[in-house]
Amino acid sequence: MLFRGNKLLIFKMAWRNLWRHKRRTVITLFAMAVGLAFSIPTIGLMEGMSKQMVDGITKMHLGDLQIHQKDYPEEKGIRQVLPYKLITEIDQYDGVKAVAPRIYSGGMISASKKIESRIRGVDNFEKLKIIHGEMDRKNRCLVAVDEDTAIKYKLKPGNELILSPLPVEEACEKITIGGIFKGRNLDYSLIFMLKKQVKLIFASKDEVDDPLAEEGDDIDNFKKLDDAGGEEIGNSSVEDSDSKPKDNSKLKLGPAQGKYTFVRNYSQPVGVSAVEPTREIKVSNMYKSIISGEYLSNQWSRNKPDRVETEIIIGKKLAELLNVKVGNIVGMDAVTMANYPLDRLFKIKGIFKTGLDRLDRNVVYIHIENGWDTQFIGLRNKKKKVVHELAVSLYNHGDNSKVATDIRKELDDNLIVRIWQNIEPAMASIVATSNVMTNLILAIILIIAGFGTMNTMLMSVMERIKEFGVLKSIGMKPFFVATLILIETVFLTLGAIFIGCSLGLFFQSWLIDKGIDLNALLPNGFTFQGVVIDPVWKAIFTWSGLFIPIYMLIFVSLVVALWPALRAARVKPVEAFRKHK
Amino acid sequence: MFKLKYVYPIIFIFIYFVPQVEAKKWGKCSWNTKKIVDKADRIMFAKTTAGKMVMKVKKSDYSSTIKMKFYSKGRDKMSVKIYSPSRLKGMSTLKVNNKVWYYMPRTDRIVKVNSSMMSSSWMGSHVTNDDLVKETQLQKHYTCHSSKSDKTFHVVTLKPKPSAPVVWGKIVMKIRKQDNIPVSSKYYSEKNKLERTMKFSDIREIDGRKIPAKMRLSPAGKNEYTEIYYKKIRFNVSIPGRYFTIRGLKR
Amino acid sequence: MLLLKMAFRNLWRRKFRTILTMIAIGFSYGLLLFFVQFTTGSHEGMINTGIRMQAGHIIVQGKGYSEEREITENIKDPEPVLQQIKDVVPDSDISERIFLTGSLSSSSGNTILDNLVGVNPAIEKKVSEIPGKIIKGDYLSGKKGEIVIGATAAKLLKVDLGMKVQLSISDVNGNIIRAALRVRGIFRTGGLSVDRGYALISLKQAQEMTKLGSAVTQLAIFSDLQSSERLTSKLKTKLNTAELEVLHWRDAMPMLAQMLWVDKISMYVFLFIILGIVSAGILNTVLMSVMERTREFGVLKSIGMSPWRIFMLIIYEALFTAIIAIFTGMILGLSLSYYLSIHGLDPAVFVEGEQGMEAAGIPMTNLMYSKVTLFSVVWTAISVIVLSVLSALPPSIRAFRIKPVKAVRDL
Repeated sequence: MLFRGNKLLIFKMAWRNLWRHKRRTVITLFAMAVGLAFSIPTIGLMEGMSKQMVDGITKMHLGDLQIHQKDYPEEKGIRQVLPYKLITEIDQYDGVKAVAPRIYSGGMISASKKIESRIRGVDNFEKLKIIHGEMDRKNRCLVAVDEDTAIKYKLKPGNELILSPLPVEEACEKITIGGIFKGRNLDYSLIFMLKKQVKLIFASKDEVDDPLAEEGDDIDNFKKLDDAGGEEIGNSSVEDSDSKPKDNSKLKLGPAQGKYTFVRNYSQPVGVSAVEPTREIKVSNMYKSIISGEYLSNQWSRNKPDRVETEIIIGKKLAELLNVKVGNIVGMDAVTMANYPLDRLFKIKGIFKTGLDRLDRNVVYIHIENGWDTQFIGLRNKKKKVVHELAVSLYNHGDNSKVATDIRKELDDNLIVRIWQNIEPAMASIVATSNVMTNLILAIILIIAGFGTMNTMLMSVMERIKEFGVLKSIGMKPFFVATLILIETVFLTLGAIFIGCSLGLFFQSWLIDKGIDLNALLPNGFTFQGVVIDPVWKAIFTWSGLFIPIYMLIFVSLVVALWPALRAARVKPVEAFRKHK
Repeated sequence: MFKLKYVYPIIFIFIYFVPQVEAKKWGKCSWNTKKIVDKADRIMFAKTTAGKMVMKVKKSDYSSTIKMKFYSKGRDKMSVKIYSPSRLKGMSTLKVNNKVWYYMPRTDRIVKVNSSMMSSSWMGSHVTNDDLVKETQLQKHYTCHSSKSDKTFHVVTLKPKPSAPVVWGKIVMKIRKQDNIPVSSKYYSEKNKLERTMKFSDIREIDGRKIPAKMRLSPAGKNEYTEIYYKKIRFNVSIPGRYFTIRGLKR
Repeated sequence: MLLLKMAFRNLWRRKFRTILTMIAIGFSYGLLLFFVQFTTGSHEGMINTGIRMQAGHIIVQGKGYSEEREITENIKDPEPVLQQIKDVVPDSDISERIFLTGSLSSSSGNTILDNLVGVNPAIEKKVSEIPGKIIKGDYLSGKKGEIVIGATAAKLLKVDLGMKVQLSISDVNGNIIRAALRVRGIFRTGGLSVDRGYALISLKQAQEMTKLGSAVTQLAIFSDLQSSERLTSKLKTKLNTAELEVLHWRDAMPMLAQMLWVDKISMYVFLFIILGIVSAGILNTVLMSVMERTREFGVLKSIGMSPWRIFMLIIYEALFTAIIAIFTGMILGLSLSYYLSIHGLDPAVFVEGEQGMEAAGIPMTNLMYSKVTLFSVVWTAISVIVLSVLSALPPSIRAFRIKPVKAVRDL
């Protein structure tokens, strides 16, 4: 039979056919290539976005997966722990990049500011121009403060200041801001207070014969009350509206004005995260959020940690609320393993800003040794170091389900491994949505490219119906005709892949390098759920991002070429001649 | 027309006298039961108290012993100062009316307990900050539901008054007949499930009063307890006011 | 008119190709339309949930409240402020609220409340999300002594309807104040932190316990999304901003606003890409048909048809293709979109999340609905039409330039 022997003939024919209509071929080639050239960087961009989000989420704090005692995620009990030693085991698994141990507790952090102020006694507050608050007569320790001082130390009506040093027993030991008055550009702080109270504050008293000054057995030294009830002795309790010291013969009242130091305490409830800095920086990017000072160092003075301040990093909002800067000392207590609070002084090493209100306002980071130190959180189980959480980061985010399953197999039953998608399902759904979108875009691009190809092939078939009729009438098999068309498509596709890939990779390399600058759209920079998103949107390269569109293009063009091929195969010689005279 | 003037006295009579007649009973029990419960409830109560106590906390995998001094005045003022173990030494708690402060000696800080810290445990015990602060006057918030007596004990079931700020469904108190000293109090939820038991033991005479020196609070269904043992108590002594001040906390 | 007829007939000379092109454009347009409507709808859904859970379209609060979050930063006398707001936004619901923190305990457990809100039930029933999320019992009736809590809190406290819980909060002077309340209702939003730490009591009760008198911490104004921005700036000029802060929901819930920003931007990127592809498709088809008919155009020109008319002929063809495609696509897009505007899509289909979905503190468990609006149909249709005309330009110009003699000779 004709054409049977020469297997190469069909390829030659196909090739030649393509070049008979150079212009059309070139256009089709470009239509397909443009589809491909579009898809490759698009996928790169979408994957770049998705990676940035996943990176952001996992590196912010979560890690790719986390290991806990099984009830910890819900109950957050301080005793729901896992051994620190587990780290070395987890480190062995394939794909694991780093493991960070964490201990959590809660407590109050506080800072105090000394306010040196002039204090002046008045008979009443009526003459003052109070701009905020009101002077309620009932509280004898109520004062009015000038506006500048109030702004400087963030004082508001209702705030309390403690006197330092504490004055004699009968005087106010703390004052309550009642009102703020308009100062006349004073270059000092000024507090107005009832005259009598000022005199008491500056009063002096001999405290020689105080039997209770000695610690030891003060209880035994209390005098029994007689039934007449001398109960109200020296009552200067904070809540009492006025003091009537029974015995102030030894009390020498002071002047009605002078200078005194007041202490303003700022405190905030916080969540305490104790981390191991060397491991933590491999798992989370928190150290990148430091806006002033530095991240925790790995220094830990083993000897007497309670004598020197250890390091702490706090959020920007918290720093504002506490009125502190890097280098300042803060005190913080934390719930210990025994459930009671213990406290320690910390020096602020750094201040971070994540943009996530919850972190910036309510979370502090300290060295993990604080967590194990029996003088602080003391998280140990039979003397062995334990932690609340192991955050694991992987080389490849996509592996997390697999690694989680691997780890789960070997792990104790009372521990659970969760991937970040389980921990933050909302973020996971956003990432998943964007992946769905990527696929949709890809599908649309290829469908359009496919229609383009089909268009061309169909057109060339229609044009050549006469030709096919001739071929048929000289004995060519329908199968051969169909194959011919398909091979033409394959050539076109290969050409398109070559051109499309070169073009696409060229765009992509530009996008990887330069990216799309979204600064105009997002003038204020951008964090998303605490994930700092780079306003310059960059693409990334993955092999799958290159090959999936290529495979898809091959598949789509062959599928769409089927119809024209069949059409050509069914051409009847006679009909062909008749139609195309 | 019927003048209101004449109605008032009648209403007055009803308001005034009817409860008087009713008041002879306490809820569904006799007036005498009220006295018994009241006495048992006030067994530790005095104008002022001062003393030393040891608090033992036993939890499933942990136990601690804390020794402290305590001072109280009426129902409103209380201060507690820990003297052992050494790492807690000097830590004090001050309660005045409805406010609570902690003093942390190592950092020289005074921390005011805010409302969200109220539900956390006090010094690791089974008592919350809230339990510490809240007023526990049985007869103010509860009325008697039933009472039984045998040879040695009264068993009284108390139920809260409708608007009382308490969460228990009922309290069953067992009181020794001979001297009105409580033996145990069982606290039930509104679903009638036993939630915690308070046991009193080691009845001794301290400072002229016969009191149970040991109190053990255990939550139901767990092998845990908090036990308080009074080493020393002095009733009605003159405690200087500064014990209930910030100065006192820092002392 | 003749030209229009010719263009229309030309389309059907290559039925197969025309239909294919129309399907391609229609399909893309349909997806695009659906996508726009779904994104808009689900965003509005999230904004509404957020607004109804945590704020209002506009909120007014005491100066400094957003920084300090203390009840001392309150609106002392809400009455005149309410009046002023009513003057600016006459037909709006204004809810007075007090936000508190506290702890809740029962006979068998306790929990911390991050967000205890004192509310006026009559208004909240109209504006808030919670009344619709009650799974057991009822919403507040306005009487004192009631509390509505979340399902997780109820589980932690082991309490059921009608049972007593004790609430501890701080008053303005820092005193701890307690009250025994009965659980009137239990809600479930699906948001983890909301179901645990969010609870509601009556405004009266909150004011009494905190000793705030008639003061409140927030006035939440519910008008509508469109006008909220304009009204915010109007309120800012009208109200005494020395003592009050006026916040648009975007500033009150910056996390939510940012999240939607990201989503919106990716939507536009998506749109841009789809439109790009659509125009490539049109360009391809039209160019093909022009090349095919070079001879025909040559003949037309030689019998005296002006190049402009040929140019217009091709533009018309593209236009017809686009318009018919748009109608086809509209059927596809609108039916998808309409289905989801009625039945909604469960966001849980995207993930196998085991626990409450929450973003920016707002539960994301509500079904997502698409929003069918004429506006979105029109603007997407117009952009596709404009784009098809634009992409038909190069082939039309080519046809415009065809030289009669050469064209006829060439073929």
